[in-house]
Amino acid sequence: MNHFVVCRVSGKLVIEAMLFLLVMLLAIPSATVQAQQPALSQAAPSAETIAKGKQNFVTYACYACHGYFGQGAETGPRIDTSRRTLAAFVSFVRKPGRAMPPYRTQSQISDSALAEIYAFLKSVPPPPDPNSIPLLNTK
Amino acid sequence: MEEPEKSSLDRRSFLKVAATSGAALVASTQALTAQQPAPAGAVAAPAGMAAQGVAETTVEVLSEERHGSDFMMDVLKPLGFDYVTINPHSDSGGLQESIINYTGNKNPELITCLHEEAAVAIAHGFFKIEGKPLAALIYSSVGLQHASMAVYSAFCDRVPVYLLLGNSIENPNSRSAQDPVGMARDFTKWDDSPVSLSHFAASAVRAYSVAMTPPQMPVAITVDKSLQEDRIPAGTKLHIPKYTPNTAPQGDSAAVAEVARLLVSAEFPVLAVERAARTAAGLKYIIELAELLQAAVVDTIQRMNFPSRHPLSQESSVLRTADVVLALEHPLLSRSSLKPGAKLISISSFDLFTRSNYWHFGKYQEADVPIAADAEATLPALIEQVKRLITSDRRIAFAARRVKLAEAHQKSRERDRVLASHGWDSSPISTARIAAELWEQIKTKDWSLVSRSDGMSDWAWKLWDFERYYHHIGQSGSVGIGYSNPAAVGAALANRKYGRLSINLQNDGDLMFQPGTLWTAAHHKIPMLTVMHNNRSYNQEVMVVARMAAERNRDISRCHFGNVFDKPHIDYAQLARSLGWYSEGPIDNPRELGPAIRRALAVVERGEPALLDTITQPN
Repeated sequence: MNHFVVCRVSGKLVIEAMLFLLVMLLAIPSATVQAQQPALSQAAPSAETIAKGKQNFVTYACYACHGYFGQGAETGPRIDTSRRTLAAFVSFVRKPGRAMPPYRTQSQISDSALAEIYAFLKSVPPPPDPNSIPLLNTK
Repeated sequence: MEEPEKSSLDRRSFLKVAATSGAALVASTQALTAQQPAPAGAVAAPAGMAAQGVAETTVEVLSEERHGSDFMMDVLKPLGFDYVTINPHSDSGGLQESIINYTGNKNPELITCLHEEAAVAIAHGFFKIEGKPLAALIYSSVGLQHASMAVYSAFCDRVPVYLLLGNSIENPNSRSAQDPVGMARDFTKWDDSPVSLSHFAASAVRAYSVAMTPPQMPVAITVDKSLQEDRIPAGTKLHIPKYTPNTAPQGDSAAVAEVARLLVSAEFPVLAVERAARTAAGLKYIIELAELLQAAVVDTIQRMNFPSRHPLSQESSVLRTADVVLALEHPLLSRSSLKPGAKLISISSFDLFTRSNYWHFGKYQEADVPIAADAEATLPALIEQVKRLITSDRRIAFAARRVKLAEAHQKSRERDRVLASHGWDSSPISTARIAAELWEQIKTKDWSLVSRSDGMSDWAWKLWDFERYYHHIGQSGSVGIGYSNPAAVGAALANRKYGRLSINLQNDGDLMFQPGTLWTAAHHKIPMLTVMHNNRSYNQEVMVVARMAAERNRDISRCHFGNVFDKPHIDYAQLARSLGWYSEGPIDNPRELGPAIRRALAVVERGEPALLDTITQPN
């Protein structure tokens, strides 16, 4: 089960969504935008960005429900970023509309911090096939 | 098992006094009805002597000089207490000395506890495996204040604990209380403060009877210091009442017949079970009823009510599709969780005794057929009624229902298997990985989970094959932190004589409420494996405060304040070692877990406790 309701977008749409987010952010006062610029690069996220995202995931208590790698638990589902854009991710966190509390404002968590979290979650390898784990195939 | 300390009896010169009461004092713990009154004209014979194998009809006693607490043991011993948990204090010295020397510290044996809360919680856990209460000998005022949380947990969990409270009211001191149980009367079933030995005998037996009659709950007897210590004048006639267990209250036969009719004619009946199985018999009855009806079973796992891998075991969402729900000792099941128009039947002893202050009873349950009775005692009659009503047509419909439920059960298990793979190799270690690693090494052994199953995100319940009554002790009742560690020690104490492997999945915050209980387990050589759920926080509260901050549009990054215990990290392995346990850790690499479990199990199988400090994911 997953919190996300926006899904199934192609790679092209991911880029479009990120551009859309960039446009939106340009409307934000320059100081805020400056702070968010690093996360908006379309290049592969740096190790530093991923590390920041990992730290943000703890700082903003995301781990408490979803686990340290977003792998999910009974308190919060696995966060699957494989088919979700950054824009969709940010939009969901701002207005989840389900069990998850809304992180509505930039003052609570900035878009750049969310982008770093997104980069971190993207870096997490997919879970192994349970059939490949002997301990999950015993009686 | 610890050797009882050598009795001083054999070092003293005996004065032989013939007494003829022994038979009453070796009453089987399984057949307490065997108790007989002391013979007229004599104080009851010393129970410890009888227990040590002295001829039942002629008993040697130490001397004619006997004390009130000796007689108290004559009363208590036949009730069958295996152990008395104790945190010592000056106002129970008489009774403590009688346990040690008069009855030889055997049946009951003292279990030394380093806190009164632990003394009661150990008794709580013991009962849930053995089905017999322990006595807890604690101070009436300051001791009961410490113990009160554990008494409340036992009350909520419908577990009898027999409190013996030392007090000194005849010669009061600064710790005396005129009504010591007053502060705990909201969560005890019955209490008394006897003023004479005859009064003690009557009330002690009554207290046991009240505690053991469903709904089972804690009781308290105050034992006055002077009453314990005063000599019993020669020739005093004291009577010990005969105890015969009450029959548990069963449901009215007409109402039970109506319930059977509703269940057999239902399209989709669901059995919703909470504290339904008081004993192994209850587990058997619930399986039989479910299989007769091929009905879904939704279990809150407050007791070992139903096997975890039974095809009829279902997720709680099926309650929404039920047209008839039979709630068994499940007074908190809300009608709002059912579909409109569904019939709600309740069989519960809850209304037979309750208190008004603490709202553990929740909202009033709007049942269509409420039966105030003990569910386990009522099930045999209900099963017979159901058998009578099932026709061949219904049997065919039931078989089809089973197929669908079995498919749903299998899907649920497969979903859990996939979820367990998430974060499989992560560090900190996933709780699913811990459960799976443990299962691999215990599944062929005679195991017992002596902690809550809802710790570690229910992974033990999802991945292990819970089948026998002692496979699980249920939850705490009160949801109070501090129950789990001592209750696990109590359950492991009960498992010891059966040679069972006791496994405790231990929350880190809970352990820090009563870490001294680890010493008790080491001292009394109680074998058990504790595996830490060390997420270094009260993680539930991190989530609560994060939600609050989010909804109030405030700073989320500060929700760790007050909830996280790091800097320094608590070193549970070192803590356990200092209290006499074998331990390893911290372990945060999942690949190291399997070998660590193997080494720890070898220690446990030698009869010692072992702890693995595993650094875990939050849930």
